[in-house]
Amino acid sequence: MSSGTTPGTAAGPEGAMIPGGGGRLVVVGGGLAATRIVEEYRRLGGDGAVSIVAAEQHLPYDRPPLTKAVLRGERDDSPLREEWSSLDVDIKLARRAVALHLGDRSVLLDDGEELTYEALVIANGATARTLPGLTGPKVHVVRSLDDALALRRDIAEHGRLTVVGGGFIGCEAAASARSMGAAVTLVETLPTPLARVLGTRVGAEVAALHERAGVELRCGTAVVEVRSSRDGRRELLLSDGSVVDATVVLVGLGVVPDTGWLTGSGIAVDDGVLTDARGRTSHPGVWSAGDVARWRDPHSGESVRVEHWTSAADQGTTVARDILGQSAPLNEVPYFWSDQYDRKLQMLGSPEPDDDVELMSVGPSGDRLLAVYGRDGRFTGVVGASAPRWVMRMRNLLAAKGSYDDALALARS
Amino acid sequence: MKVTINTSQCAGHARCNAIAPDVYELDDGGYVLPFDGEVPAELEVSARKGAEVCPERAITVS
Repeated sequence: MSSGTTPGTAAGPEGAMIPGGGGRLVVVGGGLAATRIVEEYRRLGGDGAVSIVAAEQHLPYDRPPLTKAVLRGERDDSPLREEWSSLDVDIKLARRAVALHLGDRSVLLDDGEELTYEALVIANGATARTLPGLTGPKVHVVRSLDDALALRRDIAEHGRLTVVGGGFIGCEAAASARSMGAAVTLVETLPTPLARVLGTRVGAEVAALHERAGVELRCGTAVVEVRSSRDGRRELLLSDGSVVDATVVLVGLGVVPDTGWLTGSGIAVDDGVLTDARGRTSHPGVWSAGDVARWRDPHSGESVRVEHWTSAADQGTTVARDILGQSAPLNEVPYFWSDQYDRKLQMLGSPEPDDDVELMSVGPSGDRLLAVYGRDGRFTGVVGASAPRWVMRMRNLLAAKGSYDDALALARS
Repeated sequence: MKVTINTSQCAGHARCNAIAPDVYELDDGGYVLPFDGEVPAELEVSARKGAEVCPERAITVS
């Protein structure tokens, strides 16, 4: 594709690259956002040299299967693409960016290599939180493919799993471990699993799902001490005085954005790289996308860091378009799903755990759960359990910022 | 352009339908209806976008 401009590094408006301009695009990070950035950049005719800096030894892969099909042993990987050669990308595996120098537009890697860029995208994701004092062999997090494979081996060997943290990762891993036949205990400080996201009323339904499947739930209690039993097994003393086995542990306490390497660079960071609704950071020529980024919502003006699969994909696409001077602000209704046992939980919108919520039964036999959330009379979100049609038909009303009354009427219709 | 949908992979995310309702229709449960064949020229762009947003990679365009 020819741009008709002088060849070389042609910068467009606000630092955008021009197709045919020939500048170098550097993407730090090797996950879904990075993949979508490069795919869209090439699709739109971007012909600069492209480098991906990926911290892991694997080519970009999909993370949702890690706590499901990969953990259950149904597959050993989940690559995002069958081939990369058609995209003409220099993929640097098992390399990390350690410093960003905005002045000379360069990124320093951990092996000393310096990459200069015309456009840089910070898309290096997040790191799983751990629990101080709960470390050592057979204590796991699940963030990477290697994490999931290591946890799988330990569950298979010991036939048991204790999950600390009842978020989505913890709930999905608990469900997968049960289906592998393991004895599973789940410890959560709040009164129910997923309470932090969905509130306790929907959380109680999730709790029932896990109890029916045979998971031993210990909710409303926290880990206070890691100790050894008389026969030398690791156990956890909980704040309610009870003790649970901790031979194999998964810590599922959320993630923190990987912004340490940007310290002192001048890029604005506040629990994530701050961007506008196109993914532009505080500095021209630098964008950010995915779990590491905190994007500004064009409606509320608030900056939010969303860890959804769809957000990483959509942000990646949006950033690639903006780099080529063709973008519009991202304005998608947030969407998230979680597979647990035979249920698919689907969430549209941005409900808060303390929103008003109304639970109803929907579906062909009236046995599927639908939860409709609202706040101050506004419709904020909807969650369904294996009820895709009933969730998805609320999308337009959410996009239109409809009222809670209208949402309830539509949900009941 | 040809669209092939592996309906057994469809998980009801309905993102294809949100982007390209004229190509990807949903059944009463919210899952994508089978489609196997040529897409009219004027729908090619949206058909491709719909395939790209599928988290299950159930849609192939060629």
